Amino acid sequence: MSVIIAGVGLHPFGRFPLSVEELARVAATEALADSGVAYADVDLTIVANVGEGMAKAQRIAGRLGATGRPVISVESACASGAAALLAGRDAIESGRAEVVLCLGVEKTPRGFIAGAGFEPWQEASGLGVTPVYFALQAQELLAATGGTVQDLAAVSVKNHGHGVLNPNAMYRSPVTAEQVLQSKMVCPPLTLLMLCAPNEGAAAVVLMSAGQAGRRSITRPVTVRAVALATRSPGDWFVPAPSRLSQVRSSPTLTAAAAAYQEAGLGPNDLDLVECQDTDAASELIAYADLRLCAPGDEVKLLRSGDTRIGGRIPVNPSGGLLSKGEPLGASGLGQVHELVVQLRGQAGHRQVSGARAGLAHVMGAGHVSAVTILAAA
Amino acid sequence: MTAAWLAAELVLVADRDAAPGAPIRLAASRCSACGRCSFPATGACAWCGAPGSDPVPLSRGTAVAATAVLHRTPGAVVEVPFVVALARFGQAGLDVLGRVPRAADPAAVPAGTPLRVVAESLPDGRLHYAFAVAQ
Repeated sequence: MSVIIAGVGLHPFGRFPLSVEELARVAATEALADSGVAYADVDLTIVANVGEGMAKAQRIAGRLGATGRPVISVESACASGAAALLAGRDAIESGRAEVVLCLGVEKTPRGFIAGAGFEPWQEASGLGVTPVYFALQAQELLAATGGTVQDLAAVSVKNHGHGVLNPNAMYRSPVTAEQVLQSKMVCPPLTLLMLCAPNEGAAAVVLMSAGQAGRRSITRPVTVRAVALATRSPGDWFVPAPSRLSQVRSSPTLTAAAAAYQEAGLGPNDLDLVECQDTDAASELIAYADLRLCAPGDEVKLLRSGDTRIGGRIPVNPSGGLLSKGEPLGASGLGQVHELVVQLRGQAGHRQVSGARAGLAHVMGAGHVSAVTILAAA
Repeated sequence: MTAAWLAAELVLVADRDAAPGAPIRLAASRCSACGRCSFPATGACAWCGAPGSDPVPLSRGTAVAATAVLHRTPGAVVEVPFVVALARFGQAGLDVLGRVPRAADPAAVPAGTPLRVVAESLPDGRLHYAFAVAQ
């Protein structure tokens, strides 16, 4: 049974004097209005959030009404939004629900993301530092591809250039390679402008069965072609593991992408745009190969070709990516879905990818969780 | 008995009386079923879940990649800046993350640099493992 995205909503990403409930309410209200659905018609609400406490989903969704319907919470670090989409899609496919609201929201504290699963000894000894992992991955990528810090800067320049065109992004000023390279060094070779900023925001998606979408005369529906989530295999290494196997090099993104392409019946050449987890500039390049947009080793070549800019063959992060939007953990995955839907409907304004028919969203985070979503215009 | 360890279980029992700066061995484990190693040592294999394992000491490795931490992070007792390297222990088939407290910057630990596991005295007086460039 195909599952349709009938509506999307977003609270811009940034820093706001608003409660987590209010951020979520803004996004949810917009998504419900976009789909023409009343909250009373929602069979199941799934809240994606990392930082809030017990019964957070019920507290957050409580602002939308007391319908007596099930409200549940999912948490999978940076992949929480995709996990919500996976659960919502499955609830509709199983026939348990006809209309599902997926609602991602976060108010991430400022600074380094704490609580990423490190042991106390890792934090005390200075090894429980997430950018260390990104920096070591970046060093290995540059060594394997012949890339330079100029290439890392070019990723930030590209995504900030896209972010200028996105009214929902946190940073909307263009940056130059010099500015990126001269910004504060965090963990060599990564400077501050090569890393995304944790922040606040919300995103919401209304899912429904194809039958419901037909009865409700949903205009410009988008089909969920695949949602696949993967965790650590023996060859993977990510936050917070203190060690890895030397020989096998793999990634949960490779696993999730393979499953998603198979489920969608589409391949990388069928995609018109990609939103990927650019936690840092090198992570975007690593995703190029893991999502099979290029062969391993050709990541820098693909970047330098210009094909991943808006106007290129396969634009990556036309929204500006996390580098421009910032990363509200629970909201970032559904924020990517929001961007794909807007693009597939042809409503993305100055950042529109012309003729977009199919797009992929990729999130990855602590705990070796990676998820790949593929959407297509119905 | 010397100073307390930050995480004694990471170090072989026989090496827990080492003085700061002295060579020590990390306590990894090798799964009796699949043969793969884990660090820290685990009761059940981190990769296949099988229960049995044998201890594997890690003492000498080579650098795979290095970076540095320039800004203090929550919970850390160590002074910044410091170098962090991923060290490859070939016989165990494991790469392990560790500080290289005496290295001036990551360029001092290029890929292939021989590294030795040593005891390091932290500012709070506890001992922890670290890497030193082998002479």
